[in-house]
Amino acid sequence: MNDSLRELLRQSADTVVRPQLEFDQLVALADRRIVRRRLAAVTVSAVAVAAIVVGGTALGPDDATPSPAPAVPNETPTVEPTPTTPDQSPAASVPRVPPEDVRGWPTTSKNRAGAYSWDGRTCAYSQSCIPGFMHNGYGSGDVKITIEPGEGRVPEDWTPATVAGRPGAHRQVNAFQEVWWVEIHGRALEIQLTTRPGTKQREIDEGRAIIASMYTEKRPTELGWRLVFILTTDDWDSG
Amino acid sequence: MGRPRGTSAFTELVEHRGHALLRTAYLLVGDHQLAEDLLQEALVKTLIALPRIRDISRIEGYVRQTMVRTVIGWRRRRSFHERPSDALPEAPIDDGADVVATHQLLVAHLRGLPPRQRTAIVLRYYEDLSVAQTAELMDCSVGAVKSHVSTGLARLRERMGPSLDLVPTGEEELTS
Repeated sequence: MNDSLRELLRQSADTVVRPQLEFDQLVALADRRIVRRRLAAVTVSAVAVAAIVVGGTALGPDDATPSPAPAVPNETPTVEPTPTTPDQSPAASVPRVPPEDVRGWPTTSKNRAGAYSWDGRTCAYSQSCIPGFMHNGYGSGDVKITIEPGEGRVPEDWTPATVAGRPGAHRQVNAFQEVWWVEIHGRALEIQLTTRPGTKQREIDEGRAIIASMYTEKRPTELGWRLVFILTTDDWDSG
Repeated sequence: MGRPRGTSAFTELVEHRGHALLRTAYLLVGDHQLAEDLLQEALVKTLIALPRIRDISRIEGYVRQTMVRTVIGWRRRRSFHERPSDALPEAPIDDGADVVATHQLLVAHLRGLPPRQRTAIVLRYYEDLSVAQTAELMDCSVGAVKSHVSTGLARLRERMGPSLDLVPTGEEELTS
């Protein structure tokens, strides 16, 4: 059945010429994306060490039993440089949700507002949770957030920022993309917020608020922890 | 610096399956240039994720899945890559004489479908994937795939007229 459809699809596909895919070019593109992760981040490393020495608990926000007043990094001004705007640096102090109320990664369908998480595992039927992708597809679809495991250390030219309650870094790539970098228990993460021309400020703020709401907690996952975040509207999905 | 595990499989994939992947990409987006962009994006993402892909033998599936997810993301963000138009081409009057026009028309009408419907149709009728395989690739339920295919075919049938014999297969007749 539908042989004519199949045939027409094949005829349409036949109009595609063989691509000029150069492996080296793909590698160069990939390297360009990860090179910033491979550069040494002397400043941030020093900040992290200072946080350990000065704050003691600065690198240990993973509470097995979250308290109503969660322990957050008690960073000194040296540890927490002032961000250019409050929105650009996820807050160190974020409200926590009881672990049993935290869901996994948002599904491809409509997800109600609430607490969700990324733990670096595959989805039930696919690997689409690695990296994590979600956008406000039930809103304008203009705002996208991705969470990708990174490599290496943050480039030193990024702006130090607190990410998921830890010393990290922030970079405004261009008018429509900004990236947060953080290392959690030796695992580097890169969190990207992407918008498009004309995106409403309210939606940009919502995306930043999601990143600002991030915190980690110990869980029996492959990583031994998960990254929790709060969706405040029903607009977000991973499709 | 040594290349990560799976690099040779990736190289082989690019060399031997690049054209096939690009053909699928073209049907997913309906535009040659955009198809190249889509494929390149999927390959770069795969290359970056290579060290974390557990089953290298499924690397092509990973690329396809990345293409599907990427294109759905693109399409949701409507005006990022294309602008919807009501002015679709007319169906060819002499449908036996202009095969080229007919498949161009099909691509144009496919492009006018919502992304999930189009993706489901391409995966089912071009890639010849089963409903279950399509659902896995699209990361949605089997029922959702049936619905997307059924609705998408109905729209194509409505727009293409009698030039295509479009009927849902037995698996997809449950939804309208």
